[in-house]
Amino acid sequence: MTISRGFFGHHDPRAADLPPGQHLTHGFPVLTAGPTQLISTDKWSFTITPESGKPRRWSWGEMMTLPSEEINVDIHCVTRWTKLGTRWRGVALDTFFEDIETSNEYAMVHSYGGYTTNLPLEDLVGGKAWIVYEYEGEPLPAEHGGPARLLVPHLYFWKSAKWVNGITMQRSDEPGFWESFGYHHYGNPWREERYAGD
Amino acid sequence: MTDTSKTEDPAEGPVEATPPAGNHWREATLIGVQSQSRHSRTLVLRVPGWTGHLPGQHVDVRLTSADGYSAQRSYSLAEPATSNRVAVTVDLLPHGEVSPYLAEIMEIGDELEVRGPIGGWFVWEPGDPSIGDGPVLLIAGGSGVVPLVTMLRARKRAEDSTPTMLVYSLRGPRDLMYGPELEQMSADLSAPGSAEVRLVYTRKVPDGHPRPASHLAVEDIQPPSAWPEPLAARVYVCGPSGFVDHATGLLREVGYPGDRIRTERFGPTGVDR
Repeated sequence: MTISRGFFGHHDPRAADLPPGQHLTHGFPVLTAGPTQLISTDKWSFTITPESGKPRRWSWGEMMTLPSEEINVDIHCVTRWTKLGTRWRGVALDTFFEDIETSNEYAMVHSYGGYTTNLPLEDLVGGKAWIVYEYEGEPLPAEHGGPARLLVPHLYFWKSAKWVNGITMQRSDEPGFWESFGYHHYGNPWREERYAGD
Repeated sequence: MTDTSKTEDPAEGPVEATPPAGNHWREATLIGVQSQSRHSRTLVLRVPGWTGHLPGQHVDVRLTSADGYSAQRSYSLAEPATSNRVAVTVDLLPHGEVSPYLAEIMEIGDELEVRGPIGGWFVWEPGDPSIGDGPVLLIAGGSGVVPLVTMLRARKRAEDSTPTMLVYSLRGPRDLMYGPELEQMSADLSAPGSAEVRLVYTRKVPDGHPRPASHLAVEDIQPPSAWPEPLAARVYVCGPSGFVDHATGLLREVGYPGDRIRTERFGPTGVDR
């Protein structure tokens, strides 16, 4: 073990239970590869495209008729900040997938602006992922992915795509945007899967 | 704050920047420090086995205390690739956990661990075919200047002549990083590797500076008269999140399509970078 002489650290007791290599933040840092997308709710839509059959599309108004829930979760960014107890409102992806028939086990998530990220389907269903449109009781701001983003809190936060507009089912686990630049295909913060090969 | 400016340069040449397959932690020893402003300095580390990187990529740094506690952060690489060598420029955040150690306490011969290079989107290597003949516009807010200066250094090393301008927004003269280097780089625009540099002071201007203190505005990102076309082929924006949003808003206003803009942001609060 390499010791850095003269380094003591903060030993923050609240940080004791965080995933390895993470530290607490009290702000909400923004990380985006390009400009913030400005999408109005009357232009927004969300489409699931299975391998066969027709894509299923929801407008903003249609999403608003779906049952929503409040979600209280910790979020973990690969750039090492963790934010505890964030509160969101949105629709579980289970609801969107009710009418979708697919035998593919992998999904590519797409966003306005061209961002993509890949996930196994089993990480999107079973009460583990949502399309969220409120943060701390307010409409989700554009800089944090509003009007709606994906929320997959059990994986590093780059998987929770901002400005989400669709999911395409895929036969194999093809890499998305950051994944093709050397980030881990799966991204479990508790196993510290930051980069390819972790 | 140190004011030393000594470097034991291993004097090894440029290397091919191929990200290594096995991206593991490596031991790093501090071999040089260079003061960059009142509250920032460059740390030069000897890292056996480091094979290179691209300008704009970053490196993970891990500090471990004698009792086994450790903390990790990510920093932009501050020099173009040289084998067995890594440099980072660290801006002091007074209540941070890691930056006070790196910016003030660490001494020559002290050790830490690094891992990388990380990232592959916010990079510019001279000769990038998707940029072609350019031009390239670099926009920095505060310590966001670090990866952009690394790009300028790589371009200079390669004697690349892509028309390039750096627009650097900072609070006041005390915050200026890389001052002498930027002055030298922009002194003679006909010299190879030179670049136009515009300093945008937001609160306090030094004596004799022509532009009054104000936030980055549309005029500041207007092309230099020598550019063959009004819009850059690629724009890199790096800084605090609010600054990046402000800058990309101005870029959109003057007609830049989103796909020409690449951004790197760091958080407003609570993030020790």
